[in-house]
Amino acid sequence: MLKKLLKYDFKAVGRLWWIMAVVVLCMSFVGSFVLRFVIDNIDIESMAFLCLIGILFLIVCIFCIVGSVIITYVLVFWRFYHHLFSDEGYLTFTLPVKRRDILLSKTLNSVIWISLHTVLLVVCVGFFLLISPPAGEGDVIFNFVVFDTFGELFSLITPEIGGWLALFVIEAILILVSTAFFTTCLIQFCITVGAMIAKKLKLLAAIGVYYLVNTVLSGVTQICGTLGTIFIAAGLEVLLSGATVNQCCGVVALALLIFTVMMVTFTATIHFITQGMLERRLNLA
Amino acid sequence: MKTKIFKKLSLALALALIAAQLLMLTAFATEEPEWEMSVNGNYLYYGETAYEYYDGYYPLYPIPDEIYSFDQELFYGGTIEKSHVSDNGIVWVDFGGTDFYATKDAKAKLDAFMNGDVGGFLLSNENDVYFNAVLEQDTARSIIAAYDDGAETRRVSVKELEYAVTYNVLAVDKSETVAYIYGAIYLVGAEYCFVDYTKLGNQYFDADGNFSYRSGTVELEALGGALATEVKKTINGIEDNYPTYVWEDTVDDIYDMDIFWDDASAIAVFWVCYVLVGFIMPIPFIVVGLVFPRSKKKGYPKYWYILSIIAGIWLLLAAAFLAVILLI
Repeated sequence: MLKKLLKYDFKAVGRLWWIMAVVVLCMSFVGSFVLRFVIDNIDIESMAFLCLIGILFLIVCIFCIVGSVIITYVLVFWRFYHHLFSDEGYLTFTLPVKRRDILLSKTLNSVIWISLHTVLLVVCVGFFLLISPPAGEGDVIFNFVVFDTFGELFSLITPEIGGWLALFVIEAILILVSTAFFTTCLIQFCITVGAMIAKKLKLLAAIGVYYLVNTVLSGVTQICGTLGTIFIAAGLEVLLSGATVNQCCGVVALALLIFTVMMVTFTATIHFITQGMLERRLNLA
Repeated sequence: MKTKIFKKLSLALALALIAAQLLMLTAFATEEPEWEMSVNGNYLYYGETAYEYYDGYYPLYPIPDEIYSFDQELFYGGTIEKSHVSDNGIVWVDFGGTDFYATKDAKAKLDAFMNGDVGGFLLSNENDVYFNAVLEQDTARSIIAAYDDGAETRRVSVKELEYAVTYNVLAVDKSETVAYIYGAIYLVGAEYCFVDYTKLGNQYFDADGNFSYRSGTVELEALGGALATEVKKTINGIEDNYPTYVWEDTVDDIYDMDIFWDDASAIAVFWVCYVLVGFIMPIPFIVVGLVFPRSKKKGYPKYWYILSIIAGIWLLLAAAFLAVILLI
C-alpha cells in the first residue's frame, strides 16, 4: 500500500512541478547565453541598452530560480497539509492503510522532490558555469575554464588523501539526505502541531509553530554548534598533530559518520512524535 | 482542558521568545573609534587621543617584533600601524613611505631618543634595516666613545666609501619601536671602520635624510682588536628579522584558535565536549526508545525501539572514535 500512496503523492506534486522545472531550465539556459553576451559587451557603449535588457533578464532568471525553491516546498507541504488536515483528511484517514504508512509516504515524497529540485539547481548552475564564460583561445563555443579548475582542485586533493575522497563524498551525500529528511520531518511536525492546537487558521498556526521551533533550534545550534565545533576542532588539532594523513582521514570519516547518525536520531524522534500525534491525538472535527 | 493548558503554554513561550528578541534592540556593541586626520595632515586623532606628526632629526624606521595594522585606510591609501608589543603612543602611516605620529609624551621620549637616550643598537645590511643582528651595547658604546676620542680616526673622502661593503649601525629606542641610522661600519680594505653620522652636518645627507656620497670628507675610525672581532661576530649573525604583522580584521576572529588557550586546555575542553556529545546525548534517546513501547499505561507502538537502535549505533560509533583517538 505504501507504494500506491507514494505513487499518488508523487503524481500529485509532479503535475505542477515539472512545468516549473521546464521553465526554470529554459530560463537558466537562455540566461547563461545572456550573461555571456553581457560579459562580452558591457564595455561597448553602443551595446549599453542591450546589456541593460540582458541584466534585467538575468534578474528575472535569478528570481525564477529562487522562486523554484519556494514553489517546490509549497507544493510538497501543501500536499501534506491539505491531504491530512483539511476536509480531504477525513477521506485520507478512512483509507485501509496504517497512518504510519500515510506519514511515511508523505515524508518520502517530500524528500524525493527536494532531492530532484537540488538536481535541477545543479543543472541550472551547470549551464551558467559551462556557457557563460567567454570563449577562450581555441574554444569554439564553450570555455571549460570552470570545470578545468575543478579538475585541477580534484587532482591536487587526490594525491593527498587518495581513496578517502570517495568515502568523504559518500558521507557528504548521506549528510545531505539526512538533512533533507530532518527538514521534512520538522516541517511536518510543525504543521501537525499547528493543526492540532488551532481549530481555525490551522495553516497560520503551523507557520507560527514553525517560526517558534526554528528560532529555538537556530539559537541552540548556532551557540552549541559553533562553540562545540571550535572546541572539538581545537582539541583534535592538538591530538592529531603527530598523526599521519590516513589516521587524520579516518578520524574525520568517523566524525562525519557520527554526525550523520545524530541527524538520523533527531529525525527519527521527530518523525515518531508526529506519527504518534497523527495516530492518537488528531481530531479533525 | 489539556488543549487549553497546552495553548496557554505555547502562547506564553511564544511571547517570551518575542520579548527575548526585542531585547536585542537594546544591545549594541561599543563602537570602535575611527582614525581622522587633520586638514593640514599634522595631526591624527583616534577617539580622544591626538597624535602629532613627528619630524625627527634623522629618518625613523619602525622596528618592533610585531606590527599591528589597523583595517582603516586613510583617504590617500595609507594604513596606520603601531607596535603590537608596546603601547607607547607612537603610530606611523604606511603609504609606501612612512610618516610618524606621536602623542605629547611619546614626542618628548622621541626627542630624548634623538638626542642620545638610546635603548640599544642593531647592525643591519646597508639596504634593508630588517636584516639585522643585535650589536652589544658595550661594543657599540666603545666604538662611539673611541670615535669621540679621535685617537684612531683619519679623515677620508666620502667617495672612498661609496662602494665599500657597508653595515648600518641602528640606534633603537627604549620601547624597541623605532630606530634611526646612528652611523655605519665600512669594510675598507680588510679593516672595519666606523663613521658616526650624528656628528655630521646636513650637507652630508640627501633630501630623504640618507647619507650622501656626493662630496665631502668624514672622520673614519678604524676598529681594531676586540671591537673588530665583536663586529665581525655580529655581522655573521645578521638574519631576517622582519616584523610579524597582526591585522585588525583577523585579531578578533574567534576561529583563530591560537589566541584561545594552551594545548592542555584545548585537549581538556575537547574531552568534555566529546563525552557530552558522544556518550551522554544518546542516552535519553536510548531510554525513551526502550521505555515507551514497554509502558503499559501509555501503550506506545513498537517502532520506538528503532530509536534506541539508532541511538545505540551513535554510542558505538562514539566508542570507536574514542578507541581510534587513543590508539593514535
